[in-house]
Amino acid sequence: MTQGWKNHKILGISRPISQFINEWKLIFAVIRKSPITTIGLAIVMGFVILGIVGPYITPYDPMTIGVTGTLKRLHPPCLEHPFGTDEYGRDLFSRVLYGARISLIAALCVMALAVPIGIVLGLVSGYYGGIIDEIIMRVTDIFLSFPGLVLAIAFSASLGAGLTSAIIALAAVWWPGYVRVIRAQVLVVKEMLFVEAAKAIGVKTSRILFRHILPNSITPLLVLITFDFGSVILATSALSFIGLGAQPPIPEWGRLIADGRKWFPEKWWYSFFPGLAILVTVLGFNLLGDGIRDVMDPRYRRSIEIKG
Amino acid sequence: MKKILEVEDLRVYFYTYNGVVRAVDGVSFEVYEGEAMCIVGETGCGKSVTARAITKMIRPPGRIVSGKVLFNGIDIMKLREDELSKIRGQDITYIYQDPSAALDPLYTAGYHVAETITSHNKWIKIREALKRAIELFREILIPDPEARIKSYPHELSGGMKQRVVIATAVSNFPKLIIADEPTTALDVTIQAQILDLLKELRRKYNSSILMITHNLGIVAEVCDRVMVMYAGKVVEKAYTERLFENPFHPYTRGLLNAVPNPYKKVTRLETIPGSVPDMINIPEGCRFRPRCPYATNRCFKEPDLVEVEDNHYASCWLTPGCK
Repeated sequence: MTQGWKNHKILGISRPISQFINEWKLIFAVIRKSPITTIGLAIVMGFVILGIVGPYITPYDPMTIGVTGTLKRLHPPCLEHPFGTDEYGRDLFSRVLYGARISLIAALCVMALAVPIGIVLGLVSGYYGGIIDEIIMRVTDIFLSFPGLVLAIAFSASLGAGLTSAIIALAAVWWPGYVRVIRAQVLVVKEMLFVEAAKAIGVKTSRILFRHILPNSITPLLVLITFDFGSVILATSALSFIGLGAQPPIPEWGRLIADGRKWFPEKWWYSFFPGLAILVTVLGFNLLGDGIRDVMDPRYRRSIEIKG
Repeated sequence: MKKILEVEDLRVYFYTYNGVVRAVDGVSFEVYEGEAMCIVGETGCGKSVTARAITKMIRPPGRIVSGKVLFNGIDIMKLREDELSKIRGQDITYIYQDPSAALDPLYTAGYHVAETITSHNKWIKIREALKRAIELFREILIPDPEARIKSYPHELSGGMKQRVVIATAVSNFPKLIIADEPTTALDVTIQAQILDLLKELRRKYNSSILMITHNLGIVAEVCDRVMVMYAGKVVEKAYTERLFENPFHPYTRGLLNAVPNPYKKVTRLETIPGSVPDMINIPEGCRFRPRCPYATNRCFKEPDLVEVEDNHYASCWLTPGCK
């Protein structure tokens, strides 16, 4: 115990490193028990790694027209071009690989915008209650009463086509879900005695909210975020598919499917491989989300701990 | 002696769907400097609500309807929330009944103490506050304090957790410690240790203690003065010894008779018949009337709290001088 302790910045507040390691060991033990979660984790890790290094390892330039030579337009998959080529002679494998980064950036940006909004509004709404709660919840109800994607299309269209406007539009329709989840948790946690105890020792309300209530209510949100990563990738592709998201020549997956429609089904590989990329990625996040929910469930964890 | 806390005609009502619950209905008492005062009563008689109302910790649907709370001459009821949070944890602190619930499961024992210190002394760095936490832990007899400040609440036993709660309560040397049934969740041997600790801390810091309990043994052990509450009202108030020797109110007598007495040979302990009244439909007149063996017709009128002998108040028609 004393060894990890020295590595720590602040005395006594955080747990020693060794405990963190145990915690992670346990999480991995739980994940390993379920092959489906392992697959999910592998897919997600693969996606993230490709999103980071993808553009540096593409065999051909994904953007420039005619890099593979003009004769190789709409070439079917072969050893040299595993996913085939498009009508401008670009290597589809390189384009799909590059697309991982676009999806990763889009999903991260949407989360970075929507999650903080959801957390702050959910905390305020749940903790204070009364008229503030009423106003915030009615506004979220209005947002949730429209189908999210339709609203996102409307926002995105009014902001003008482009990846940035698609990200803003998706963030604008994504936060109400987080408000609801956080609020529901806050309603439970704020009744706990330690919140009253913190108040009774004179801790400020903002500190009670962010240091005591939020950490105790974040677990369901983490599960939801994992699932939503997949959904946001899907939604970004949907916006790009109808021409609102990323603009050419950026190889967004949804955009690639849309471009390939013209040649479908004879040149099936054009739409098929980007679609497969979306399918696998979203599936990966959903499988991982299921697994994380199991990890967070103390009863399930306990059974693993006993076996281990 | 100087009065540190003065509560006058405190009324806390809960406006529920079924009706108004008058949980605390006109309670007055005072706590002197360095004194240990006890509030005794059955479950649901308004002890805890009284204690919480002292620093306005009543949440909706509860409301402090009227009353004056003077702490060191400051009228608490007139303070704003931010002014209150300066008093809470600094001058008035709480010890709760259930220590496992009173500690945030995500933070270490040391952090709880450090947070109390840094919340009131902005210039103290968290590292220094933790050093003080170690000293405090040593003082309240937590073994191996250097290691224990790094323990999480789930790693500590019930008695240790209550010691941590006590450490947070005394970390700023408060003038008044409000202990709301501090030993109810603990087993008997630990109870004795915790009570000894409270007595010791009171002597060391010259803090006053307002103890809330339903255990008359604790009253006799710790407290200088006792206030007996029944259904939101004070029925008797006296120095502990006088109350045990010469209880006036039939309810107090009933309580004392319900405790085994080693000097008396009894085959069966007495009980008080009936149960605490429905707080929404409180009986007319004296609230103890339906359960009182001495009830007569005049009990349909409410008796006042009168001084029967020096510093001994009771509210019953049977006490001499009651109007």
